Amino acid sequence: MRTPPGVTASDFADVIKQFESAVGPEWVFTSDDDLNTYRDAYSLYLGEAEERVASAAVAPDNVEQVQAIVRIANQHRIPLYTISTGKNLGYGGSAPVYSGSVVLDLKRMNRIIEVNEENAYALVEPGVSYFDLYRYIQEKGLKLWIDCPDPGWGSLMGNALDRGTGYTVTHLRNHFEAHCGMEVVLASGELMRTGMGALPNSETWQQYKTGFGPYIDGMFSQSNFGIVTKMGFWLLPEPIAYFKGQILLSDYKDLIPFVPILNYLENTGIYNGYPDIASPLLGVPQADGWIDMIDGTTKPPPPEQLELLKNLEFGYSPELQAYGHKNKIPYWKCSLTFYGPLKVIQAQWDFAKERLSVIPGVRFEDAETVTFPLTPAQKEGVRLTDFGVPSLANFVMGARSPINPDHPSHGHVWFSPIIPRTGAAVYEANKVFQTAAKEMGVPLPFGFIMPVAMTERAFLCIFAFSISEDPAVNKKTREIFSALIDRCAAKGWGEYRTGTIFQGQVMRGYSFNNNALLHFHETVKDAVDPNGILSAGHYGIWPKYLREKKA
Amino acid sequence: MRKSVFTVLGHVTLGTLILAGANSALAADPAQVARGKIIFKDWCAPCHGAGMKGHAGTMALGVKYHGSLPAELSKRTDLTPEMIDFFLRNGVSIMPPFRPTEVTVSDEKDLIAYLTRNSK
Repeated sequence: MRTPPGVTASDFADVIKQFESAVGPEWVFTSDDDLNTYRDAYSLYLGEAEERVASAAVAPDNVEQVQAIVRIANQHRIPLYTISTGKNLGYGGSAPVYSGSVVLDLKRMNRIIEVNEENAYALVEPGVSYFDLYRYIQEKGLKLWIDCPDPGWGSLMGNALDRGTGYTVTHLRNHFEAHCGMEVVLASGELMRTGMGALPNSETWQQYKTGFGPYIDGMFSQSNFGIVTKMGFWLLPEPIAYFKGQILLSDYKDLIPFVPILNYLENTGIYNGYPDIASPLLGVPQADGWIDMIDGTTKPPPPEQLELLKNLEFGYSPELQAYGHKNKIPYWKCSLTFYGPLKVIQAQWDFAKERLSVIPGVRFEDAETVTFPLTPAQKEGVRLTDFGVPSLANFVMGARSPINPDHPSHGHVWFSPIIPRTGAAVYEANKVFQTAAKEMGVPLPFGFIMPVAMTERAFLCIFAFSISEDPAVNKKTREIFSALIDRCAAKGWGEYRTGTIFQGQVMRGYSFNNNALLHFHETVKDAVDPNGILSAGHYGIWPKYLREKKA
Repeated sequence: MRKSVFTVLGHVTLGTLILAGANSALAADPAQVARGKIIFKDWCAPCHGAGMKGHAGTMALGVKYHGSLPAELSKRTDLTPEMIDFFLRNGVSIMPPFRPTEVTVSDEKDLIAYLTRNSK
């Protein structure tokens, strides 16, 4: 039997018996075969001694069992690591940060407690996936949409607590901000509800976020201060229609005038969907073009363009720009998406085009109009996550494919810093990324990393490094990943989320006033979890007994 | 490193226990096959569904076998309980392993019954 660090085999055997008594012996896992399924499938330490692994896993069915497990862990000082569906692949999966922790697997807690159509919200447990809630909504015939991230098998709660994002309307794409009300098991085993949930007999737990007094929900996201066991989410009433318009820009420098107008149009609510920026000239597709590119539907650029792409400086050469002008291939292409009545959308799109017409050479295309509900045939032809339908379609990335028939990856890790929402920052970020890649001899997936406008006030740059079976390749990837974290931090760009092995480094980069923020996190940690039993090391927050060792 | 398919198939693992149920499933208990079809739809079809477009698993197997075997898992007639258990619990390439809290031991028996219903 594996054991947590510093715990004897006999003591751990006693703890396992107590866990079995709490949840039933069939829901405590200690065999190597079972624990193999708790590994991080996309680990950059795949198969190496440093790979983070669990000593056991325990899977409660309800909140009372969670409380019992926490009390046992507290009594015996057993490190727990909480997962919901364990599917944040690319950011750690179901493996603990602190190797040897017992994974507290909440997948069995999969109850959809309430879905309210009139007020468009849901209250769910941690094990409810986007697929689960979608099936429920369809079976009940409710006219509600879920804002989904790429992994449809992910947990609504887990994704929101990890501050994931989606693809529909602006006010729901930030999944943590779209939540309303939590239930939390504290390290003591005490049960707490936040917001209006703290008021007995309240009917507004999922309707009003902040309740009374300090708003503390944020303390339970990207942290290890408690175990969230219920969470409310705002949903989208099914819109009448969807429209996508394309903006085509011809020059490399056009992002400078374009981005402020994009920001104005989003922040005044002229468009309310996800703006998707790509580069046809550089061969970088929009979100709905990735699958076609990977499965070979999209033909590669002609040889002349491919040749020009070999000699670029941070995504630019005058020759490539001239080639684009001559062949009417835009340097940049951005879709604006709108959800609402078609008459309203038409007026909004007209206004957007009017504002954008100040950019010389700008062109527009009406790309897609869809009315709802989607028919089965429509579902085959659209990008499902734009329409509140969960999917795993984006997992074609890295799989064996027509364009990559011989070397499928073993997954990927995401590098994902936040940068200012300006054209200048996009160019500067690409200088930093590509200079590092060139110096370290690690190619980036594209000659230009596009900004992602997931949230309305900042850009996210996000790109993946593949996991290899070769430890030497993974070591090289860890090195450039780590170097990029430091180089971005020096520019004031911090990651919004990262894989478990880099969380400490990223957190240390948020270092204003001698890491005052981290010191505050640690003060809170010591106060609410004095024995340090909850998810040690998650997001760089270590309990006191491990702090010096792990710093 | 993850276990290779050959290593695992040569070992006595959890899968062996499941095989007892799965072998009888080859007799195709209709109720078990029907339950397995639901498990497949919920857990496998998002990647192994019909058509290569947007189905990573179907696309990968289509490219791997060049038509010598069906790209869709549900149309295969060569799957064995051991193979299904191995890939379910170990994953392969971008496919992660599935934990016993996701696809339970009982679910796995049903899934094997469904995927081996036409095995020769």
